[in-house]
Amino acid sequence: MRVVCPDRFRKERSRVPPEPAPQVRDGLVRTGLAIAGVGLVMGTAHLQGADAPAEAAEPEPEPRPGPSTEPTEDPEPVLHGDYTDGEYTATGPYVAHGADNEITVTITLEDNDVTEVEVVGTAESGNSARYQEEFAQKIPELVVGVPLDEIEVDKVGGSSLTGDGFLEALNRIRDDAHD
Amino acid sequence: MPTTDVAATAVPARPHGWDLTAIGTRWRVDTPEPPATEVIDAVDLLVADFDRAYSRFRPDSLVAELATTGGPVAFPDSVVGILDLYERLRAATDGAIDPLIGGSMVRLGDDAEHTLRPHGPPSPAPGPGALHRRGTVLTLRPHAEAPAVLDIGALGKGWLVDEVTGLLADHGITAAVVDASGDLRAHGAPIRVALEHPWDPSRAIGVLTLADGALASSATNRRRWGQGLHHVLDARTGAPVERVTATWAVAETAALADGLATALFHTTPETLSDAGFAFECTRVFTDGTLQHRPGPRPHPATSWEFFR
Repeated sequence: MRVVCPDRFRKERSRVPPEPAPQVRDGLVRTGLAIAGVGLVMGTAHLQGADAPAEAAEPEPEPRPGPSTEPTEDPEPVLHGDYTDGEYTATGPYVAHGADNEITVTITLEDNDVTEVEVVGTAESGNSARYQEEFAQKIPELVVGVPLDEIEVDKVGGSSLTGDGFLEALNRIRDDAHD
Repeated sequence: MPTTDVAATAVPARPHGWDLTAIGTRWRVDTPEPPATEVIDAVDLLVADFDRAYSRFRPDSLVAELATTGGPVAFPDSVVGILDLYERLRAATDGAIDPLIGGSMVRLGDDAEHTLRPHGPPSPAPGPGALHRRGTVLTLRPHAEAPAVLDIGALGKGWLVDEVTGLLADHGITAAVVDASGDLRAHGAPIRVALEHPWDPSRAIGVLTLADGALASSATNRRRWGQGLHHVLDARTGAPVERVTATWAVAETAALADGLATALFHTTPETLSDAGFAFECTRVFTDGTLQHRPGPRPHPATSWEFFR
């Protein structure tokens, strides 16, 4: 599979330290969301064209992605980090119905959010075209975030705020770790 | 979306209410009319009794007594319905949900002292034979390998939300919202609930409009510590789940919604539907993908909107 990262982003892509210090805010550890988009990018490479409809199978988590452009001697496992805004594209070839086909997925990252997904297939007719179209429609939706202060709601539904000493304990442990 | 001028919004259907702390988290009850003092006091009493019975975090609870002595310990009447629902969920998830998961939680550090450091490896729950119930009296059969500690966190908060909702109704308050910080039940007028982004609490991934019913929100983001340790454990292994990171379930009662939101970390909506549960849900996986299952029939007053 070939992953293309536009030239203008290569130099700016931030290095991810091997053991990133987690940002803890209100007891919440923030992890890079880019794993989502890259998971999708990697996932499409496993699309089996074959003769079966392209059902969107339960996605496998990909904890070690890396939108690197060429194979490196020491691939860095990327679990946390900030991804530079921009488009990341992957093209996956597959053989079906006796012909070479390709499917290209482009994701757009902004502020570590996946804001757009585009799937383009090269098959122009026949079963392959139909399957590609079905696959594009059945791509699992990726979460897209909108700031809370831009929407009108009565409540927020998320995990419970931990107010029973849990946060104090986390702070204590973090302080201990820094001693 | 543009921010709406506050003055231009409609008058809220429930302009009154009060805040309280119960079972370790912040609650909010919204009511159409100012609540009477006796109602507030009655709710305080109810949640205090529940905490004294079921909390793992206090040495004087019935749960602590059961863990220490092995029983027999007489629990409140609620234990019957709670354990019955646990049994349905245990069957539907092939044992991934189990009320005796508390032992592994303690071992991984989620203990009464909030040690938050593992004392040992994850351990599976002892299995259904370890807990014996006769009426409301519980006894633990001695189990050599795994500590048997009752933890009703899979649905306990939802259960208490239902009890509070019932108590309000007894006092003539039938159009309230009882919100236990993400597990809530609403009647009388629809409410809009933001679905909190699992990785970024300043954002939402969508909005749910809930009419009569309950919503439970579950995620592994807040109650986590150490390397991959968080509070949603698979009882078959005792280890934290890895693939699903957030779930939302809408059902008729908060106990059902809470239990189903927990179950969705372990199994698919289809499996739970086949097991006879009626619900709607959304879940987010650790790779950022989202799965949504609407209700079995169109419910015009309840709708889900996801941002693209």
